[in-house]
Amino acid sequence: MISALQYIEVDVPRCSLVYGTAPCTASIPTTGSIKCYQSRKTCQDIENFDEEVFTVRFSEAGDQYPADIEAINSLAGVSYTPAVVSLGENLGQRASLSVTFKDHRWSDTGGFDKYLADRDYDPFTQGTFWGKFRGRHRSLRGKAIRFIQGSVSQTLAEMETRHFLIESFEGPSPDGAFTIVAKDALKFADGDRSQAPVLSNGFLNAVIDDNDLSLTLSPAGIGNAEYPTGTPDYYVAIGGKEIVKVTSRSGDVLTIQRAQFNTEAVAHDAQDRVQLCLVYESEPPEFILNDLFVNYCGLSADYIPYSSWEAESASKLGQVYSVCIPEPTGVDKLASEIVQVCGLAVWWDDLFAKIRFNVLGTVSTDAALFDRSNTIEATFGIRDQPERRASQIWVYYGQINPLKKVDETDNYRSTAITADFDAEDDYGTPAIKKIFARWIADLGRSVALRVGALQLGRFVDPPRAISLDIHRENPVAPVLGSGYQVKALCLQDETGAAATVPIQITRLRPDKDRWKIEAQEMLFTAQDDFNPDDRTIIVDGNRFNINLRDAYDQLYPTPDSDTVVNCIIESGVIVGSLNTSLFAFEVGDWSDAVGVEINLVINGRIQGKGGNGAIGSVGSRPGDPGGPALRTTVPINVENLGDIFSGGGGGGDGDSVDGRAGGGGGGAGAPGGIGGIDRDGAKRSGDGTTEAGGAGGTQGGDGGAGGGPGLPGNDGPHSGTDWGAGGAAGTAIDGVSNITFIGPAGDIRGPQIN
Amino acid sequence: MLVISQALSLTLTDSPDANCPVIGWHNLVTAAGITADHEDADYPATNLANPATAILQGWKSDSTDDQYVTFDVTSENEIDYLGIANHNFGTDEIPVTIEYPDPENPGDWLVLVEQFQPEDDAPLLLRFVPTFLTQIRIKLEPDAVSPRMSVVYVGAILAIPRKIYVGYQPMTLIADTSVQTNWSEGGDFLGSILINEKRSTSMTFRNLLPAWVRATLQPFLSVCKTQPWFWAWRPAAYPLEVGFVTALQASKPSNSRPNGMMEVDFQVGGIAP
Repeated sequence: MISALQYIEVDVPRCSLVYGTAPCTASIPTTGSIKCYQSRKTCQDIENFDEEVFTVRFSEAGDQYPADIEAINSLAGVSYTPAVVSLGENLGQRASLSVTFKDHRWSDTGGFDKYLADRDYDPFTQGTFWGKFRGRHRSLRGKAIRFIQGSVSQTLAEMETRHFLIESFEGPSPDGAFTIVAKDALKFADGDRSQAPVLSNGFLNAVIDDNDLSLTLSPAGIGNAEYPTGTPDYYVAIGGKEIVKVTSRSGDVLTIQRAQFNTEAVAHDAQDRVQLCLVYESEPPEFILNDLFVNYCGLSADYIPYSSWEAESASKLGQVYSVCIPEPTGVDKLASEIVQVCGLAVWWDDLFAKIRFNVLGTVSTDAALFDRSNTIEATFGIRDQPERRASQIWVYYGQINPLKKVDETDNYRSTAITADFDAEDDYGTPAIKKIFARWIADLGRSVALRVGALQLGRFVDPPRAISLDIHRENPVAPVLGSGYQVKALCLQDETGAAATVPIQITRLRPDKDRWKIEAQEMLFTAQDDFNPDDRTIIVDGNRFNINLRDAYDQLYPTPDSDTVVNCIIESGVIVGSLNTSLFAFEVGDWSDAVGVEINLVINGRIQGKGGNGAIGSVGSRPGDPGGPALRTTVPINVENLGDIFSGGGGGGDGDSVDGRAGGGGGGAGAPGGIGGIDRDGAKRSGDGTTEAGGAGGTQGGDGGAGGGPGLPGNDGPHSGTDWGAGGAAGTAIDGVSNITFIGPAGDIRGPQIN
Repeated sequence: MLVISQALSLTLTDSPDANCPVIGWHNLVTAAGITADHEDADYPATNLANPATAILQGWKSDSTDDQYVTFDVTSENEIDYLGIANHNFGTDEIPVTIEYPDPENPGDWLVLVEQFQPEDDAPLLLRFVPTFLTQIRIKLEPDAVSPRMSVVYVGAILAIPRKIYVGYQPMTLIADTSVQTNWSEGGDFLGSILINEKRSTSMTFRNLLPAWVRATLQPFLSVCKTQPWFWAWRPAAYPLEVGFVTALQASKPSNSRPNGMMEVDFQVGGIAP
């Protein structure tokens, strides 16, 4: 028989300095009438308070406690509410430790009062331990407390030590009870104490118009105090209405670029807030969570086993996320969004004082087994959870305006749906779960589908909640968050044979004689052939001016020579251009990943902008050239099952007849060129469309028609001499020698150059 | 462990009172009157004056040399016992001798209780011939481990005039334990865990003379719940059965016989082995 032991250790902060010895400037009677008690509350020179940790250990009163582990035996009770691990939903429920002590007389020896010899009273007969403690410390919030459990045969180092941070204390009460309440470290992510970004205190000192390119902050000096210099650029939100990019700062004056993140440039009033935005660009989830926990919650980096987070993320997710958070938001909310979007389980491992990070997945079939031989009698329980079932996962991604609410569906460009309709038939009804993934950038369909696959895989069959108790001396000590298998009489397959059910422990309470386990059935039905090296970018809606490298960086980690990038332009989708000087689709700069394999599948169309038609005039006016479609400076493979069209040229103006002349038609393109007005100011010409150029104007000499896709615009009919020439067609492909066509080259219209 | 000096032993031999219970509650030790040859700064010898048995509130030497802890115990009455609670003299094999100043040769010390080696770390109750003393000292002769002790009482022993007979449960023999035994769903024995272990017992002093209760026992009764005391229930027969206990409830003497004799019940808990 083992004898159970239970200890509590509290790290009490105290000053390492000696009273009145430099750098401590305290002196009697100038700073106080008696010497301090090395605590902040009694410090007489707080500027020089030099904190060190003084650990106090407590035990219960019991004969089984060994003398060689010194402890104050005033521990009256420990109430431990274990954490609940949330699987893919949020940060779960915090562990809570409530420790109650009995008050007693205390001699202040053992290092409790460095200046004991200077006191003019007998500390044992004056006051009590906790009464004096309370008189010396205002708060212990954030200080470490440890719950230690073991047996008489163990050394302290061999015992289980669970780590928490103190939340509050209370007492001593009239009946001599003193209580310390502690939480796990993730409590510090709660919104009432950790916000990201941090609230900015600057505001506009004067009105700015919708086209001003600088602003001045108030109060004076706030620029240097709170706002970065502008190298690199950063973003601020003004008055909650517009996000601007700050490119430089001089004192309180910010140089800005307007209307960022799809917000609109508008005028702002004096006093409008200027809030620093928190922007993550192409960062993996482990980076984001680490940044939030360490830099916004103040948690020690020691709590985060970052390399293991990286390995887990790389092997099971391999994706990066981008977001702009324009207003202070609770870190718990942001972290929970990441947990849901990435399909994670993030929890506090109190045994090792680490924050754990797992991607949802399967339980190993050789995991340890809990069955009738080691489950304590009458403790096994099982409960269905139909409310947790999901048959369709709708992932909204590609947030448009960060200043709008996260759960507004019309604030997202795209939705990715992952569904199991067979399961719906089996269960009788759909079960739809919506995820608002502002962290997934535009064009991140494959990332969104992965999110859906993880969530659906976990919840397409609703997991059962299982509870059981395991004897303390069981050879396999259960670990929170880990996977196991269970067998019980009530768990059977279709033949009635005993079935083994995989579980993941979501709550674990270590009592003196047993482990109380709460677990979720760990069902996981793979919904995709996940390949952590897959780097697919899906263009599933009309877009303008795609730079493949920029899109890649928003979604995936830095590429290397082994990376294979697949970009798919879905059928019916047109990638166009807003400017004839810009390519509709740029493959981009991949010079840092020489050898990268890029595969472009075009089921839809890449199309340059159409050139504008000429304005009718008495002189000779040519149509504008059409815009280019595709450019690559690196080798790529193209499977063109759709179209590559350059913009058609705009039509030239017509001959003048009695001072009248028709404008040219707009060239075909995406968007088409605008038809030119006739010389009298009326517009009779047609605009280009994605399929054809517009007709020329009809006043006087007709204007030339706009060119069709990939074609130059037409000259104005020229019976006279002042007609205009049609604009040239844009370039269909620039860098064609870098392209290897897979199969037929497809429909390509417009010049191809290198 | 109860140890009797050789001189007192001669007196008690064949005495009918040798097995009457004794209580060591009277204490003349003060923090100002303690001097130790060696002490750990965090565990000063002044701690020996408080009755807390926690090691953190006790004295620790920082030396393994032979050493003394000396107590000034000026009293108008004779003293006849020294009690020690929570020490390491048994575990770490540290012989103990009690000495007092030689009244005829100032500076010299005489042996009061001859050197002995405690068998374990249980409370020690050392009795000697009643003597007027101004000082008393404990000589410790450690080997490899520095000595420590938490509580020292020096004073006049309270001898109960009536023995304890049937029904008494010596607290040294068995502890009050809380044990959880678990069985598996399949009916297998999984094991037992000792959750807690404490020492307690109860006793009744019967047939006490009313005058003795009022004159001698009453001062003890007034502090027996607030201050721990050394307790030996049958000193001659069971000298190893000594505890350092407090009354868990108020003990009130009652008039139990027509002739006025009284009795007192005690429920006590504390450290014993």
